[in-house]
Amino acid sequence: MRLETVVLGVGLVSLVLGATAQKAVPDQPKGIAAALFAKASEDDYVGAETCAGCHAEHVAEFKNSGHAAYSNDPRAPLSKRGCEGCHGPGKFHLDEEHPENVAFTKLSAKESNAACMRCHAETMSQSQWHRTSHQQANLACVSCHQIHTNTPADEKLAKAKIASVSSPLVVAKPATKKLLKADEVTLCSSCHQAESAQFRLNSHHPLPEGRVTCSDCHATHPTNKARKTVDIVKEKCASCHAEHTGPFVFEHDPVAGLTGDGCAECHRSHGSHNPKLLKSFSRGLCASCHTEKTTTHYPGRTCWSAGCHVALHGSNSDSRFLKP
Amino acid sequence: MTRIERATGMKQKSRALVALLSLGCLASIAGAQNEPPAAAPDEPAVAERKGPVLEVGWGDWNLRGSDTFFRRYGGPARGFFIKDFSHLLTNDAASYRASWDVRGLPQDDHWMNGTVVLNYGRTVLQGWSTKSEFTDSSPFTMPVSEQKAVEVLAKQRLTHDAAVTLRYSMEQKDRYLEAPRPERHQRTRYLDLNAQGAVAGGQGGVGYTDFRYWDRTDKRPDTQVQRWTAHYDRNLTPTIDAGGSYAHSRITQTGSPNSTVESYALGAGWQMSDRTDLSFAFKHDKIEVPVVRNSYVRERITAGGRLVHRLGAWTANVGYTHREAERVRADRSFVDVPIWDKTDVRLTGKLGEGLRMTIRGTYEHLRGRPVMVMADTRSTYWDDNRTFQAKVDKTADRFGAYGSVTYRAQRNTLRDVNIKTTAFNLGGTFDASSSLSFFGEVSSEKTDATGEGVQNRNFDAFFPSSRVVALGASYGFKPEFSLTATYTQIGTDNVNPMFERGGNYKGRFLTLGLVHRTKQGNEFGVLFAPWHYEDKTDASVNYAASVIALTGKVKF
Repeated sequence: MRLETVVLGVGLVSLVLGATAQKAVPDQPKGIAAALFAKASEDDYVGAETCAGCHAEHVAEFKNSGHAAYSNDPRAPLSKRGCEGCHGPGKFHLDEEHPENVAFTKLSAKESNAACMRCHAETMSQSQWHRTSHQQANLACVSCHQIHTNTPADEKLAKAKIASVSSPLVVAKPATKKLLKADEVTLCSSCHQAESAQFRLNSHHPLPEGRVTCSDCHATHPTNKARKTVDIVKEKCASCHAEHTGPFVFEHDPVAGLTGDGCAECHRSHGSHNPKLLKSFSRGLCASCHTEKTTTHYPGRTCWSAGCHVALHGSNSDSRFLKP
Repeated sequence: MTRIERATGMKQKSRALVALLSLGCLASIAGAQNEPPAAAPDEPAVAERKGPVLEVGWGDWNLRGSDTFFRRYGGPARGFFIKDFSHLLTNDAASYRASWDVRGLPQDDHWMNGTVVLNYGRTVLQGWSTKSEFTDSSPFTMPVSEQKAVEVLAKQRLTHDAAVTLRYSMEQKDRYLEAPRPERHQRTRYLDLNAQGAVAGGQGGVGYTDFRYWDRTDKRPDTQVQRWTAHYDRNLTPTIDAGGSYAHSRITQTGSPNSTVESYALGAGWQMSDRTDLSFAFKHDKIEVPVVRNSYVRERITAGGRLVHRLGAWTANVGYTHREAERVRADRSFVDVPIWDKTDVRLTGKLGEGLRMTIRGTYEHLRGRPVMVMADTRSTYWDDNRTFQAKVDKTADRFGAYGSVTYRAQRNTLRDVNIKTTAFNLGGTFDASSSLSFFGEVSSEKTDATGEGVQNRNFDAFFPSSRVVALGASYGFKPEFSLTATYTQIGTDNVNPMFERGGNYKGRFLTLGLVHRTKQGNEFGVLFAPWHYEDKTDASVNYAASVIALTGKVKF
């Protein structure tokens, strides 16, 4: 554990340096939005009524947006209120000093995200977002979220629906989340096509049937938990599959989730052409690790459904998983 | 009444309804001819949503064959159903808003949500209720399994930058499985209390989670996991940020000593320039599980760094992760320390206008193989894990295309096992006109596997190849009518030496939908889905369904 000591030392030194830094800066975003708001005075905010003079359509549809309540809050500072709370002081726009102000579709992802992050500290900080793979792929908040309207944009994405794995036959499926551009399945699969295609396989998590959705397992925002993830000893799968979680008196090493890939050592989480989301078919799954059992050990059907190793995920009474 | 008679009766009902609704449809078409021209299909004339929306329907399966296999993940609605009943209420000042959404009732499968936002968004109350019915994928007649969940979320903003959130969920799962597996009746409860927001120039939070599992068959012990967490993150300088988190979990099981897991994590990022970012992450877990009598990991660390550099339209992303575990052997004779070193590289960029490419690869190598306390003491862990993926996607005005090839290889040198999988995924969309669009996708997967102990060292009998073809089309053949068609075909090639179920199958799933939308935003739809599934080794799970659903949507 020498590496642990070194890394821990570096971490502690960083924190001490941070705590004692004379010029430590608050977690404020940088970029055009911060610059505009920093130099604005109260007189530079003209109010949403003025914006409506030219942008009546946007102002009207914004009323139904999930953001409307927050931005209409009279207790909020002017810099976080109304249209100008996101787009910047209207006076600059009218004076044509910054004619576009904060135009999210024209900003770089980094600057656009910085503008959103001015208000979302209760979800995460800019630095936390900075370390996510979505940020590293140069995605902006507005790549997935729509701000003005509350009507799901998937009505506009009817063409994309023919590519979606979501089953049109199933009725009882979650509605599109507020502020997302489309339902999660359509939205996520517009970039993650290969992953999405796995849900078409014969054995799959019931995502096409609407019983789970992407964010049930994947946390896109670093400090927001995925709804069905319980991050305890064995990560990810415990919330829905608690019966396989243990800890058991006799753990099956891969399932313990402490070494290897945990559940993913045997299962493919999105979908598989093998039953039960398994990586390989029948006893081939067990034989790829327990090679000595391949042909010499009861050459019957699948190890668990033949009635022998029925407690493969772990047992409280038998070290060979012959009973629960 | 026999199953066939029931099916025949359903067919007659279906025909009567189809006839009625066809008449309605024709009437709509006739009426539409006298109306002024509607908007173009890609700009539907949707009325502004003010009142509630109600969409109801009727459906039937017309199922022949295995009911259990058809319903293994849930089924389409059968009989009368509410497809969507939703409403959003708000005032001019938007100081409050309330909404509800009901889907599926009065069917057994349903989803409901209600949300109230008060006090200019400072208080949010949300509730969900879901119920799903499904069956174990068995050739035998099985009782229907069900899963019910109720979830409540309450969020209170304390300031503009900080909030307290409470989440509670209770899930009930009753599953009936094919013998010899016993049925399961279990409950899981989840309670999560979190407070987080801007603190002392950074972002911080504390949380408490209480997770409980009850087994009503008393075959497994009831389990409680309590978890306390804290995290803090801040910018140390304009270009350097750092953060840390701590978590303590206590696991209590009936009749067993308590287990604990203590974790802390540190992370830091340095924006070296506008083009280059460097980040580090470290996590340590200390695990005490006195209940476990065979091998277990008592300590593990994960540490790594990542360098991201952008050059023009290209981004290079290189990461290294070191993972090591202290693994106590099953006989408590020794502690092994397996170490995994993983390197990953990703290169993303533009090859041309609208043409993007991503190449990524990972290599993970195991050092310090553990010794197994079994008759065969050789390590069962993979020595090497390698993946490679190349992905290209092209977007243009009228078409989009994507393709990827993924290669995975796993090797256990001590046991002479090699598994190599290659998967392809090719797809694209094409807009032939503003009203006609097509989609197509082909996926295939092939595995070559060899290992000791198998005849000729050939493992292929247990690693089938598979292919999936998906096609789709959307056609707005009149301004107010749109037709969609999707078709999916799945299949495997498998030696299947034991002639087991689920090894050689073919499925064909066609879904046709017709929607008529009025100028007022109301809709009338017909859905027809002839689905066929055939297992070549076990015909008892085959099915053929001709699902039909008729829906009508009204915006008040």
